[in-house]
Amino acid sequence: MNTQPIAIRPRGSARLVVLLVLSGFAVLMLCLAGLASCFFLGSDARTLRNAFFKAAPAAWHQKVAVNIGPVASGAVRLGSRFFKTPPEARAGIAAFRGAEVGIYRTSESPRNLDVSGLAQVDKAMARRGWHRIVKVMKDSDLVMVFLPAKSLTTARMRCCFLVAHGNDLVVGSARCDLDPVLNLPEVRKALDTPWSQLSLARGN
Amino acid sequence: MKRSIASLLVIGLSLLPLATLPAAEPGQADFGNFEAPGNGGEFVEVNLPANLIALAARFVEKQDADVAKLLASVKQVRVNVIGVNDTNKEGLQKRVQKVRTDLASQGWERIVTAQQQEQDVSVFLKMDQNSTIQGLTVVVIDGSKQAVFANIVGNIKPEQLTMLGEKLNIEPLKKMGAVTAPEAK
Repeated sequence: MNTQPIAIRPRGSARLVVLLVLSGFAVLMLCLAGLASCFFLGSDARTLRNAFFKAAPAAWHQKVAVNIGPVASGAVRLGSRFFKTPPEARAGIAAFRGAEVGIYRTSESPRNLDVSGLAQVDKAMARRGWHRIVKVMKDSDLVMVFLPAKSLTTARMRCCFLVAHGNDLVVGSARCDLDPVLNLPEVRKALDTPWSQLSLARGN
Repeated sequence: MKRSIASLLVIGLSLLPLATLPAAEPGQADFGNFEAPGNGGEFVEVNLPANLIALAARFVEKQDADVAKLLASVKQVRVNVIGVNDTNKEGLQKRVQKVRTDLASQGWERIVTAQQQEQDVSVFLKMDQNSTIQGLTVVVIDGSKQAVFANIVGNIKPEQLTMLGEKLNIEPLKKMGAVTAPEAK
């Protein structure tokens, strides 16, 4: 008498159940991690924020942090397909690739910013492949904008920014694909029209 | 033996970043680092790299090929604006003098000098043997208002400057192009 098939079947189904439970758990954990990541800054904005905290030491408290990553922005793009929207709005949604912003506040009185500390901010960002294009300072107010040192294309635009005003600090980054906007007929026409003709049209 | 190989490796690795550093362009002016003035003084620093300028050039490619070509030949733009107050006035005046002296000693040609009351403007050009403009530097100190240090690095042909001056109707650019053209020399 052969009893082997009867012995294998329950073991196989048990394995299947364990596999299903584990994969379900993994999916749940991934979803939770994805959801949690919506409330934390990405590594580049975090580097910028931490370097600034060193340059302007104070008890900074986080007010809010929102991170719309590639998954969330992809979901927005996918969802927008089910709604009838004007082409400009559709191009805007298609261009959006993600953004993150963190708002911080300190109760300490604002002081003049440490210049050598701000040089460290530049260095920290440069190590991550970011190039500062703008720095505007006045007393304790500061605006800094960074762009990738390499691989800057219309399809892959990225920027990191920092704005400090009084006791408030805003740090963030944004990513977009400009091509859908550039391919709008109106924009295409404007970009393809020689300046001489544009000035003639304005003159008329 | 192992130790010497390890130390050679360490030295080699520590020198690697130096090897990958981009060489300074001949048209690059060294202004040094500036400190922001206190007491409500402003400080602006704009530093546009080649990739951003190239992107801008691509935008205007079809609108105006000549301007796109001119933009594509620009490698870097750096502008510093520093508010002048009682605490930094003397230091900035010394810095302006130092930058002017350094540029003159590095083969830059002073093409504009304008002084009126407290305003002091100077424009320098750095050209190669073919009269291609490798760098343009503008140093301005406006009394007790602000100091401006601007540097454009690239490989700009004088006729491109004339063309831009004519298109945008900027007289100084037209003249600058004419002055720096090889036949004018």
